Amino acid sequence: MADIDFKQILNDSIVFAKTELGGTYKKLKPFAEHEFTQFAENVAFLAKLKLDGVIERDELESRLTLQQFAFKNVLLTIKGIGLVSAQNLVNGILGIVSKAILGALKISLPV
Amino acid sequence: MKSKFLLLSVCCFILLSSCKVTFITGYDQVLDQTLGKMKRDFNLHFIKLSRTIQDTDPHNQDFSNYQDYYDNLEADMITIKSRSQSLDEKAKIVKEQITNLDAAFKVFIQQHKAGLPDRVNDDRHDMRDAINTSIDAITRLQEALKTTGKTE
Repeated sequence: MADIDFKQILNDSIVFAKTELGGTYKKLKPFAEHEFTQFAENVAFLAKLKLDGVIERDELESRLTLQQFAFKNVLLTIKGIGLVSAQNLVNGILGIVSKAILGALKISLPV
Repeated sequence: MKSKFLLLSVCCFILLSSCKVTFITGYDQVLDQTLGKMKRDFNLHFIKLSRTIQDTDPHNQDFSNYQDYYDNLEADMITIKSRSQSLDEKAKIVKEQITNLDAAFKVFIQQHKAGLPDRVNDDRHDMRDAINTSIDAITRLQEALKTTGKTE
């Protein structure tokens, strides 16, 4: 029976984690940047309309509420994608470990 | 000693190969497709509406002229709300997003009902952006949930 190569498991897990988390960061960064910028620009636009006397307080509040709902959904997406990434990471590492054990034991289970 | 290790390893293997963690769920094809339709319908509606809020006719943007769109919107909201209700407890984030989208549309409708006076310096792009962002955020999470388990 071969030994379990813990160093290899660790290395494979690190490579997998870098790929998984790096991919998530690459996907989320432009999305978050775009949405945060747009949110800030829209709030500034509304503040200017109010300052210029184009809209009243009620309308400002209503339109800001719309921005808040949109921003909440953006934050929830970031949180959700983070959870998906963590889920993929844990499952991927479980796969690496079980594969390594299988390799060391030279057994094939009817899965 | 060796047989104990072997037994432990076999147990670990069985345990690891059979367990898969799930932190989040919530992908639903009907929900995803309906959101795509809602986004298209909303943007078409907004293009038509924006033409009327920057001209000199104070009545062509009246809410009653757009009743058809809002009826369709209500039907779509019923569809996605019922789909989200049938999702399991790990789809809490998706459910919350649908509640936020519903609330955002209600504010938009309320604003239209209150009147959208003609203004040359206010094209209401903030309102269009907010609705689009609310939908896009859900769609983006749906995409991520659809590919759960796959590594890119």
